[in-house]
Amino acid sequence: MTMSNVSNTTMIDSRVFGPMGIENTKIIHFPKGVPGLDSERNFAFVCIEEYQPLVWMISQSGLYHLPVIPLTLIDSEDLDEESREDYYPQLMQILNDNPNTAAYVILKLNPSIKHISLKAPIVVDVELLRGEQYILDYITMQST
Amino acid sequence: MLVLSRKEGEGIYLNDNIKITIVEIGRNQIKLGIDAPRDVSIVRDEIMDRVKFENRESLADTKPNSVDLPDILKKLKSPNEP
Repeated sequence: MTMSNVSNTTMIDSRVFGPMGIENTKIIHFPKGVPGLDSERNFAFVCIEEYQPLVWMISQSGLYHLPVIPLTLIDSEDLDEESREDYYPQLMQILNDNPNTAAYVILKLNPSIKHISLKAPIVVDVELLRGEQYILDYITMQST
Repeated sequence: MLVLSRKEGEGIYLNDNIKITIVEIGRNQIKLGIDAPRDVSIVRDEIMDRVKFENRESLADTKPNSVDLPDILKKLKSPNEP
């Protein structure tokens, strides 16, 4: 896969969609990477008309394509019980503590999926163009 | 893998700002205390392994067609349809 940066756009040779010119403002840096996609640090957030409102998180190498949807489009009834009761409040706290952030949820492309889990949302700082996949695991915190 | 022996109440440092202490040793379980900056992610290994697996399971290798899309997404695409 090849990649070139011309002015304010970056060319990504997507393994799925072919060559794409992506505005640099749509490329998000993940300093900690994304679990399971070890070496990738930069992902373009790309809307493709036929899949909207799905957004594609495409690695800058063009190798990895994760379908995500913005949290704002998800109804609470589409969330699994654990997400509604436990993870949604945690995620809201993260978004409130970090201004200029937006959350996305990775979606499995499988028609039998009936509910969405918020266990590992993607949180993007749209101003700094930085992202992180949070893992909302309950760990007891005690001050000592 | 580095393997260290520690007793209850003892600990180790990772760099100079993350301290892991053996709080309690039980028969089948130990309790760890972790002092770390707030921006350090602490995740149980089985959960991290699960997230890695699910991320890789979610990757698309080819262009999906409409049949592949979950019902949730179809509903979002056609919000006014029953």
